[in-house]
Amino acid sequence: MKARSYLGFLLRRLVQALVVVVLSYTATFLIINVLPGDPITNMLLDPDNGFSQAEIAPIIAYYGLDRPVPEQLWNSFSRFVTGDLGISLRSNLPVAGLVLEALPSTLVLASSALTVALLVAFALAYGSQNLPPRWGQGILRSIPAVSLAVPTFIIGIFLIQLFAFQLGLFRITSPDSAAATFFAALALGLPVSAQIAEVLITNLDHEARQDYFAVARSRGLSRGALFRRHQLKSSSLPVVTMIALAVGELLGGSLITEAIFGRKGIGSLVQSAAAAQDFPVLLAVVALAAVVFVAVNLLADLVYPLLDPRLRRRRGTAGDAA
Amino acid sequence: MNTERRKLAQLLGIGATTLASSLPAHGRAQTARRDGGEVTFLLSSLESGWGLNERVDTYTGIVWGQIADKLVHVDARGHATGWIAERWDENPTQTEFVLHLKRGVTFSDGTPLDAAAVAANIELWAKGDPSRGVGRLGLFPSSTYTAAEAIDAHTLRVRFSAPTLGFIPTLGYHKAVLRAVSSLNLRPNELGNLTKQLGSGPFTVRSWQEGDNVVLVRRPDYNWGPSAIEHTGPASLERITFKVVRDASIRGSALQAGQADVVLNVAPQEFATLRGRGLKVVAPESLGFVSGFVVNTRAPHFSDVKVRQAVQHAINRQEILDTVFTSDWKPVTTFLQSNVPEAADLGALLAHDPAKSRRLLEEAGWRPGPDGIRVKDGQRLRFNLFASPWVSTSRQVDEVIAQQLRQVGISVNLQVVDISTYNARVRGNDNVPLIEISRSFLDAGVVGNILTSGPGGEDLFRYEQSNDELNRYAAEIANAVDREPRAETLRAVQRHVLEQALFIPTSQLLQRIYVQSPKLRGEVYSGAAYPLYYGSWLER
Repeated sequence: MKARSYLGFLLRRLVQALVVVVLSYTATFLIINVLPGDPITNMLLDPDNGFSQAEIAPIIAYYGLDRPVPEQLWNSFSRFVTGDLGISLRSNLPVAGLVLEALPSTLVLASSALTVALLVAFALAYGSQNLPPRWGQGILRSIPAVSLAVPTFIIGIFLIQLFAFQLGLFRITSPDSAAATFFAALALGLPVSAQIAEVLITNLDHEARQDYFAVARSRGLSRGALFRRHQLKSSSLPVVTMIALAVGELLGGSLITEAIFGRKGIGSLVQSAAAAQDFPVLLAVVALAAVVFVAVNLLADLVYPLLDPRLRRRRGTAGDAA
Repeated sequence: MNTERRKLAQLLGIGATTLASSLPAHGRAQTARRDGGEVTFLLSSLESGWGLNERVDTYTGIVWGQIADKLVHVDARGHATGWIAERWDENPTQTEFVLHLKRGVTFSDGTPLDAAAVAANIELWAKGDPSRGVGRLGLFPSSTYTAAEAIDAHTLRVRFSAPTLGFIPTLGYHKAVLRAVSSLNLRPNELGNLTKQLGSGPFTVRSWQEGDNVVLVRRPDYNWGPSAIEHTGPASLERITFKVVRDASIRGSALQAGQADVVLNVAPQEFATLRGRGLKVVAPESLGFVSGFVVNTRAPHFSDVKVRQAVQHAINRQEILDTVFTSDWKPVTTFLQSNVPEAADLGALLAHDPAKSRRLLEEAGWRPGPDGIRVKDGQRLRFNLFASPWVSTSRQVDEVIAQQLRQVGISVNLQVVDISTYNARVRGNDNVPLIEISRSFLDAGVVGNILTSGPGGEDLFRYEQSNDELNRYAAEIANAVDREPRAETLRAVQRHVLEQALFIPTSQLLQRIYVQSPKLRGEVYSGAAYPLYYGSWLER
């Protein structure tokens, strides 16, 4: 009974996910087609060439860019469903290869940035509860607001100027080295850590005001034990939501961070594809991003019950009633 | 990158600058050629793929210059010298050319670069292959091309239906790179694959990542460089790495920090700082049109020569140089770059003379309105000016021009748009009077193609074939079989076009500027300012 309802829940979410992916694919396609131009026309109309319209037409026709928009959308979508992502209009290379080549770098960057974000957020949160109120906590509590206020690219440029160019800790020409990845992850992770830290600190403060916490403290528990056993676990639920949302943040932020640190990843792929209106590439990445985002949120939904017994019970009750 | 971000990056970079400027300046005593060494070259893009003809852009063109050879080398004066074509014969009517190829030349896979391979390349430049989505090579004289056929393994004949003086110089164009026959015939989804695109150049591809980097290593058996380069045998440099760094200020800082040796295209405002740090700014002259506007005579008010001349004289070109550019840019004296052999000195026709502009406008019936903008028959003298999306300094230049024209009572509404929007709103739009041009060429015969709507003509001034004088000039240039008489015609064209104010030049066009370490020596530039690192070396 319980398992069946869980399966139903999963199925419902999967269908929703599919709808999200299809809608984002269609929306992206239509938006690109509302805008004038395409990579082929732009290349041929470069002022260096002096081509006439008659010379350009057969090339445009070869790429199917002269067909009506619904037909183009249908062709593109029906290929996409069979797993054929098509060829980049800009580079003449298969899109699947371009995405696969860019993916590892972005996964490494995003997971490093998430690690950095969590470490910094939890360190700040711990400090905000356990350091001397005025000089420790006050400063720590203001850090998230500050790092949220500074745009990612400024943090990135600052880190590069200081650590790459002045101190020589990494080379801009080897962006995938461990040191370069660390600083890129720092640039990308700091704003995310701020969001997580703010939520975490608010929740910790809330728990610290509860009666059970005062009782626990009166039992003479150490600060560490208090924090771990009584404050942290109950404050972590919103953090899971934050992490799920942060994935979107990390994907979006990688656009800027990858460009500044010279990394070849999904972010820089999207950036150049968007600039060139290379829609086969854009569509593939948008679909991929939608899948990732939906999957992570689904995962978060599945993790909640593990952290909060109340959610488990509620689902159980609902399942029994069904 | 926008100005604010650049300024901030500069500020952040000041620390790095001060630290590094405390290092001792290096002595320049040792200039002897050194074997070995690696060069790192940073550029803003490598995204157009590695396909044929028009897929080669400014950035990939620089890489192609190292991995592929050309038939001839054309220098900054438009002079062609032997490369893969050691020498050539031309018939008196300039319709038939026999190319004699260097012997023993091979592509990097070992296949021979012979007459058949050259003929296959020329055929594809001339015609493209629409069945694989490949357009022809824009600058190639396709309209008169007939055939290219191998006579023997090392000789081929190229025939044209009409005199084609520009054929030989065009072979030095950065897109006219010789590729292995297997590379020419790749399937459409493999054309962009650099692993399969083979050249016969002094460097071969060690590794590459689309849109990000290309690592080249020298080819040990190379021994067929252009005669213009005084070096034989394999290249001296062992390795060249091309790496994309999008942010211009980070490219500049990386160069200052010694993490790169050459950087393409840094903002002119940063030259002084970079020079102060002992770096070299190389701005090779480039054959072609200067930066400026062609006038659409069908646009409202611009059919009147007095309005066109008023604009010509209202522009203060010195002020543009002083505000936007540096002393690396020379003043313009015609609409051709000053290194084009046929360029005339017509600076007087471009003199800044706002009083004359006002007089011309008065004569044409344009009287100042209440807000200073001139009015005639209830219409204000006002137009949209679109900054060229292909020239990074265009917006700044146009801002200065807008102010200058305002002073004589012409109102300019400056529009800054991306390439797609520009194509949609400017191409074929007879309401846009001034169209910015930024075109390089290796042979000034190209000028004949813009004048009218005759065969292969672009008709930039939109007279079609109604202007007898332009018709005559276009025919004379097209039928020329000798350079000297053609140069006479080209000089007359320049005078006529500038007197009629059909072309409004603004500044010298420098599209490829290299900021580099003073240790890099011996590089040679083509007539379109593309570098050849075959003869280069790094000082210790």
